[in-house]
Amino acid sequence: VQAQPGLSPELKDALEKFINSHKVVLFMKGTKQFPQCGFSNTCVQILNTLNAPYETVNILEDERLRSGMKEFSQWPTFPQVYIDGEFYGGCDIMIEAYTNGELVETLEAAVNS
Amino acid sequence: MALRATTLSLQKVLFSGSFAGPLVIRGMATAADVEKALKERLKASEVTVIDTSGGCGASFDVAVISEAFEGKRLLERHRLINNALAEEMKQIHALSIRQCWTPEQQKKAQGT
Repeated sequence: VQAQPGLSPELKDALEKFINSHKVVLFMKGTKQFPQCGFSNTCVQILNTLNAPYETVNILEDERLRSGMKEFSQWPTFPQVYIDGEFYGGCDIMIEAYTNGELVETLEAAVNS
Repeated sequence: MALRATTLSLQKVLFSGSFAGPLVIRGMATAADVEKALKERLKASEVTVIDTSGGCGASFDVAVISEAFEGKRLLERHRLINNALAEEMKQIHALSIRQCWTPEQQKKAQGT
């Protein structure tokens, strides 16, 4: 239904730079102040609970970003979480990792690295 | 309501016995499509698909038991599921992966 403009080299570079210059990046629907989807909200709540420093990017603002991120991460849905420059997962993975304690370890390692 | 009743009776004819949940036919991914794709492409021994869309057919909860998950981390398991559903994902707005276990893990969880 929607066009897939694809991931331009410029956008890919910009994404790599952005992801690598922040410890935790959450690509989400809406903003951390106003999440516009329950799954994105869940990730915001988890990161807030763990007191993690994180940046959010609202993928609803730009269709190129939205389709580009799917390709960049090889992941079809949002939210998408990057920790320490690496793709960490979507909402289900965040919940699982939060529940079993892996997430707090990964975040601590990232923040202290 | 008449349209709804027609759709339901059509579903009974088309899918009798092949799925458990309610679903609506409108040329998009159905719970039955998702279940079939996961069973075939992941050689899953057990697949549970719940339509959580409230009828629009674009939101699913899935649980998958497959040997394909053996030796793979959670992220890789989710990637396997996403890839298996690549075609269906174009029409799916939300997919929650509740479980992606190996048969071993399922046995342990059931305490047998």
